[in-house]
Amino acid sequence: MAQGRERTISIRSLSKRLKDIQAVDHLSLDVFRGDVYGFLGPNGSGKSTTIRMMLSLVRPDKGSIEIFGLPLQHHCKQVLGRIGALIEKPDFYEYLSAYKNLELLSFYAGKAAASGRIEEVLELVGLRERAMSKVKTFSRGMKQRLGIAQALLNDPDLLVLDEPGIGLDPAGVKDMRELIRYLNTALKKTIFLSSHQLNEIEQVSTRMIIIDKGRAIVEGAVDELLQQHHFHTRFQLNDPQRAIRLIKESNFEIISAEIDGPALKVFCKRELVPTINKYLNDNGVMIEAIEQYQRLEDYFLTIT
Amino acid sequence: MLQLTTIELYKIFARRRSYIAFIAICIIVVITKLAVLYEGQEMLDFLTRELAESFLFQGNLVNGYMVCYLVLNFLWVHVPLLIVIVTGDLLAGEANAGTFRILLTRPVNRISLVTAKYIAALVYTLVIVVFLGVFSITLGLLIFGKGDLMVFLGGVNIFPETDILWRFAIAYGFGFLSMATIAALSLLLSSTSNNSLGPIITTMAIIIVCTMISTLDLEVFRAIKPYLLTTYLDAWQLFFYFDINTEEVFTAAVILLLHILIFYAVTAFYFNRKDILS
Repeated sequence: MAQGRERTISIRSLSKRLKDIQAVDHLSLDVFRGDVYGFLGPNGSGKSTTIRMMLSLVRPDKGSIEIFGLPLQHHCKQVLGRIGALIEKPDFYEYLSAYKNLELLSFYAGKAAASGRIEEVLELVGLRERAMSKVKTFSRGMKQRLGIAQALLNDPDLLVLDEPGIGLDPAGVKDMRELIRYLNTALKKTIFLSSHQLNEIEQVSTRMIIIDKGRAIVEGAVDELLQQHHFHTRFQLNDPQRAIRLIKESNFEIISAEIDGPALKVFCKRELVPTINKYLNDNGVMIEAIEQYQRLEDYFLTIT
Repeated sequence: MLQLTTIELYKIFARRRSYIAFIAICIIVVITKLAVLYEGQEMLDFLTRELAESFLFQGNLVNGYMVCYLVLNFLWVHVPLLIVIVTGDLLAGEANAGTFRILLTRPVNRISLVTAKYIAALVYTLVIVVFLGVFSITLGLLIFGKGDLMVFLGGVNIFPETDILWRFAIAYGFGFLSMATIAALSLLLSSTSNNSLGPIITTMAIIIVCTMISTLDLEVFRAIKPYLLTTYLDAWQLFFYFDINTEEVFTAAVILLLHILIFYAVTAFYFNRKDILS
């Protein structure tokens, strides 16, 4: 799927040690133009450190980062000029208004954004009415939306969003998801999206990587990963204890099996389900229902 | 660079804490004037009681210039503290507030940013020192009027009215150089910290300890004294001798400028390599 497409981000063997912890360990990944690239991992897996290295906030110990085909180390200014970023919770100059914050930040980019552009991005995130309010009066969700606005200010080609849904109410999360889709499809932005809200990644990402302890565990197109690998099946049956014993005695290539109330949860390849069904039936276990789950969250939890 | 400096200045002057120094200076100067107004003549009589037996003092010696000279002594501790409250926060404050995450992910060169912040700190320092000088002299002259300036520096120096203002101008100019050195030190400490209080307290602790070493006449400290910035914090006094020792003035200026250069270079080098984890 990615073959022949222009690489927007190319990371090779990236490593970083923070005090006694190997935060990132020989991480490699590729993000292609037009991707919404999901960046997943549990807390402390090295996501934020990787993102900070991609944005020149943290210096890598080893490895290389190329963005837009340029080595970041040597073309930092040029590369950062084409990126918009929102890292963790957005912090602003609280004593200034939202408008003034955006105006100052546009000056830092070396060119002042036209007032029309500032109003445009504020409108896009629904903060135009509060443009002149001091940021210290904003709720967490409003700051998050202002964070998106500042990321979009200089009309970047690449957006790096670290947990953009944090602090937003359910309606805000939905709006954020729609905004990401709009930015990707209508405005052709490449998006690097890190999130703990895995269902968000599942719903908006085209490709993804899962990392743990600073290392890549799996990378690929979201659909392909879900289809070709493991998913979770819930067998509702009369005797879960007997069923799990039978499963464990069998030679099926499953990842894991566990009792979940009156049911048995089995993580395995999709094509194995009919065989397991027949096997349990043949051994006297009565199956009342089979529910299949292929949500990324289950996949993510299984791997990490 | 001009644009970056303008932004940094805007950020400084948009904060309420930046005006604490002006309020404090007004209070310090007014209190000093009041003290001199009520006790000035007694103080002068006490200082000149032995000389009064041999000399006759005439004219308005408790005047605006004398009060202004007294105020200059605040350049030792009070004014540095007021300046450091702002300059010590310039980098650490951004780290503490988390604003580096939105600032340094823009195409801004870190060394340019440090330079802009130091220039902004210099402008702020200059404004403070000029405000101190102008407010002190204006209020002093309004309340006490003009007169000759009597200064006790290893003896009594009495300067005629016409020979005073240029000395104050240069003294305040040198005071600015001293304060610029302290601003550079606080910026260096600010670059190493992620909270604002640390650099402010540490800068003041360094000034206090170094001032003690500079003033204590002990053999053990004699070798390092000439290299301490605090040894030259009161170099403005050199301009209140009849014969100004230009060699001493030059040495003091060079040592302070060297301090500024070293503090700035270390700040730029350190900040340029610093991992932003806050």
